[in-house]
Amino acid sequence: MFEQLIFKIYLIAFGLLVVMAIGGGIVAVAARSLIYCFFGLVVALLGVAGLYYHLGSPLVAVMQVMIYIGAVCVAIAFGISLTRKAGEEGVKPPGIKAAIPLVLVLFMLGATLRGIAVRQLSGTAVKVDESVIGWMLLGEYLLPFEIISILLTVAVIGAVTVALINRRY
Amino acid sequence: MLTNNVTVYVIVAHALFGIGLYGIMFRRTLIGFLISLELLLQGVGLNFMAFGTYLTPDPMPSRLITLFIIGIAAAEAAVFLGIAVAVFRNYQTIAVDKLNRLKG
Repeated sequence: MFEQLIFKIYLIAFGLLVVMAIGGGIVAVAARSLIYCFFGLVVALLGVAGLYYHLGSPLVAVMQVMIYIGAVCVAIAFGISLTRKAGEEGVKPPGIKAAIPLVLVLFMLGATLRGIAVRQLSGTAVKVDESVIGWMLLGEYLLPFEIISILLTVAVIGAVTVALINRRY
Repeated sequence: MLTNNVTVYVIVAHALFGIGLYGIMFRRTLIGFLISLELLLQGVGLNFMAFGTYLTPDPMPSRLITLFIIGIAAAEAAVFLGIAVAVFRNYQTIAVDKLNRLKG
């Protein structure tokens, strides 16, 4: 009885995460004001972080919240406030071209589900010791790790440089 | 079981990818474009995590790939916002339709 109740709460929480991810995404692309888009993006990112946690990876979930919501979303908020102009919000009227992403994604989804159906599931979402990731970053994957650190440095310096081109006082 | 099933995650990931693609095609401004791009990358990362967790014996490489995707997305957002601010300063607009100086 008690376990059933707990399981029901768990199911509701999982459904809430899925609704947050997809609903936040829909708000993020369909809302008229860019501020609403921004909040939709935050909700979608939180939902995806929860799904990462459900997949048994608290590390990636925390990284998602820290990097995306803590850094990228704040940068986007600054970008919105620096480049605001009336009359340039909203979505273009979707014509027949709106069918392109729908058809493409349905095609991809069908192909993926067919590919999964013939494969043997070899794992399940359990929490495993994630300290292995640190050792992998310092061993086998050291080169990509270092390249990403250089890329981040170059990107930040480049962003500041580009933003200062032709500065008018 | 519904909550421990690769199909659910794959469907959510594809839905996020499709929403992001729609936004890239139909948002009017560069910032909206960036927001849609982030959603698209979320779909890709979620797919990687789901496949790595359920279809491979060792889930760690897929988690590492997702972490790399998150890091590269941060770099890309920084560059994109720098470009958007520079474009706004030079042209006083970031509407995608009005940035057509190179159009033939």
